[in-house]
Amino acid sequence: MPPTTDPALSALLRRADPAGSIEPLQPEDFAAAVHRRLRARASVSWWARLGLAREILPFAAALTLVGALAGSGLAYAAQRSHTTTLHAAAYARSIDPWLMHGPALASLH
Amino acid sequence: MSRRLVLFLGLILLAGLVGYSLTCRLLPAPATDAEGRHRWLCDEFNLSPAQSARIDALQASYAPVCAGHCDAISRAHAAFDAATEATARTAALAELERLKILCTEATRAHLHAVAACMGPEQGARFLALMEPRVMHSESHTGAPALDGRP
Repeated sequence: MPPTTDPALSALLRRADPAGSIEPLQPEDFAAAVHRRLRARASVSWWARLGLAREILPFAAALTLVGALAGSGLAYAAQRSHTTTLHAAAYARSIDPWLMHGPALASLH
Repeated sequence: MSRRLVLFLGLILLAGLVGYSLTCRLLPAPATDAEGRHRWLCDEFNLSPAQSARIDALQASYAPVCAGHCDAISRAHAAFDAATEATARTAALAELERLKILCTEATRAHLHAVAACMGPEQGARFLALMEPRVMHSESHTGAPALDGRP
């Protein structure tokens, strides 16, 4: 596209992208500009990732906490159930003579 | 988005596993000796010191009865072992069967007496937990039945 000669349009284009030149670029300048833009995008991407990580970090921490609490709760419930069964069996054995001496009868049959 | 969801789910699962294994390791193993059983009874059924003392007194009064039944079972066992004739063996087995019923009834009566020392709700829970363990004729959790049922 030929460079514009219209001063108003030229000013408008400068206002839209003040750093940019509206002069046509040479191929090597165009390639360098693309390269610069790509490198800039890459670095922005890292910043973006860091920003994203910072954004989701509290959420991830909360999820970790919820998971750990759920796991602990499950283990506690399982242990409690096991303890109850164990103690109930031990208590029954301590008060029931048949539980203490009866099982030997299995050998009688 | 779905990749992030998988990551989050994996994170929850991993944290859950770590929490589970750590809790399992840190919780103390239950003690089943006399003191451990007493502590469990008090904690599990929220016994007050007065209720605990009443139950201790019941246990103390039941101990000779329990010991008497233990002796009777041991004697019946010895009689069964000494019996050589079929009729004597049958008589010993009948005596063991009688003792089994006697022990079951005595133990159930003791459990009901203990439950009566607790609050109504806790007493019912105690009986629901304990009674199936001493119902030898119906339950499969106690000693094997004399007629060979499991």
